[in-house]
Amino acid sequence: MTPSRAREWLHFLLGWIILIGFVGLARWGSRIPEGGIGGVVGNNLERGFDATPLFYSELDSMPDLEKALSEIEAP
Amino acid sequence: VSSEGISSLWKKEDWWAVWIGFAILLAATTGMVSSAPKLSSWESNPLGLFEVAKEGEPVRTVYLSTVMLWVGLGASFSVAVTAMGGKVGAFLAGYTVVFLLSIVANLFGNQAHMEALDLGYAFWALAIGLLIANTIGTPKWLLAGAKTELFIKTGLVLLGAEILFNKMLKLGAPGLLVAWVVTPIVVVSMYWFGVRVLKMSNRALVIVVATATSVCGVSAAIAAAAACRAKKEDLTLAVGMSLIFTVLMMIAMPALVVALGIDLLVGGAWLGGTIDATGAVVAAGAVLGKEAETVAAVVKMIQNILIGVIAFAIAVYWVTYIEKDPASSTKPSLKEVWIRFPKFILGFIGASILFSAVLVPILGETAVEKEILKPVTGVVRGWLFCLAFVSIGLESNFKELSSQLVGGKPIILYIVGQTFNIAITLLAAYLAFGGVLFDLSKVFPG
Repeated sequence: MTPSRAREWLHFLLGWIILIGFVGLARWGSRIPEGGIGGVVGNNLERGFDATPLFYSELDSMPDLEKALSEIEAP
Repeated sequence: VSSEGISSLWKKEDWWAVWIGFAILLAATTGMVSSAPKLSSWESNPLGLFEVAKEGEPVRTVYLSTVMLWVGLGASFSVAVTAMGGKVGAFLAGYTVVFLLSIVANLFGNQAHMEALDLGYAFWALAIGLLIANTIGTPKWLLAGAKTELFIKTGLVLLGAEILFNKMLKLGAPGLLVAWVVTPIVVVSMYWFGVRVLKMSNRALVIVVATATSVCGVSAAIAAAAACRAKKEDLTLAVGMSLIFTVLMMIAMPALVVALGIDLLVGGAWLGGTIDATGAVVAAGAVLGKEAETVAAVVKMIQNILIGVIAFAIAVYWVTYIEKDPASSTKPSLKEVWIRFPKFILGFIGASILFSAVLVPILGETAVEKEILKPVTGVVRGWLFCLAFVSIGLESNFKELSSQLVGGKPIILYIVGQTFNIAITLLAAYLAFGGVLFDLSKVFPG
């Protein structure tokens, strides 16, 4: 293996370590601070909410939210 | 078809996306396929990815159905690859690795903390693909399975089925004002700003960024990029910016609503009209309360529906004005427009019309959503987008990406466009949901 190829593989392995480390840090890292970032992300974690859906049809709660429209009172 | 030759029906990727997409829709609608493997969220055990839980307890696994999906998609795309003159063996080898990398992207993206942070499979699929391509390099045999265009276009045909036009009027005129009047204004303004003020020569990049910013982030970027045949690097850039700014806006916007003392209905509509991705909209709305969450989600849903119209308009504009023969001063003929028109858009729009105008009235909205879209076609579409993002990453290189970023113009375009979007949407939300233009007791009789 040439030195440049070895360097490429080293970068590749380092990249994986960074990606996996990022997930690991989020999983085992410190508590999310209250307020600010903790406001939304903490609320998501608390209620087990998945904030990743790209389209409305992917949201499990969408039918309930559509129904909840009828419960809103006009100001 | 006749002007291009009948063989285009089985030799062109666009038509194969339509055939495969409609075959999946047919299998789901007739009940031949009643579920597809949706990978689960996991907290500490990565194998939880393959477990389906009910009330917190695992009830079954999706290992077998994931293998069946790999086989089913592999077989379908193999037929297409063969018909288009490709080598099936080479495709299958590469496709298998792309599929495995998609599982890894889902493994990272479905970790509970990543889900809470809005870093889902799209982010991880791109990151993994880019990592491989820009370190050890993507081997040629792997690229044979990275059929980005075919995955994206087939996924978009399936997405068409999820665009149910009857949902447009859920919030009446106020909802339409925020979602359907403001959004096209922002798209056109951003396009004008990018081309005329920033003088960006890559018009495809401008329209993809504009659509992602104003409509619905990643899914809109995918649809716009396919409609104008943007380069993979353009899509990567637009999606990357959208993903990063969505996280920032998801965190900052609710705090801004509170700080500015904005009414919660107005605030909800504001979040729904501005934050790019649907999940992030609901997450941001939820911290403000149920009313804001509901209005935010429904405004976003109405805006999601617009993507069909926007993608169609971009495709027509591109083949009519942008891709026309520079030597010709006249408009291209209808025949030329038809030849250049991306045919998968017909499948995308056709699926939307079929589901909105035929299946929903016959089967009912709940049945269509609960038995066809949610458990089958929506899940397969997610897999196809994930395969596409891994493929895009594998085919992209940082040199190309950084060449697009010279002068920071795409970032300026995004920031200026998003700022304009935030301002004009706030005004529209105030006029629509602040009791200024409409009698809200008709919209919210509860």
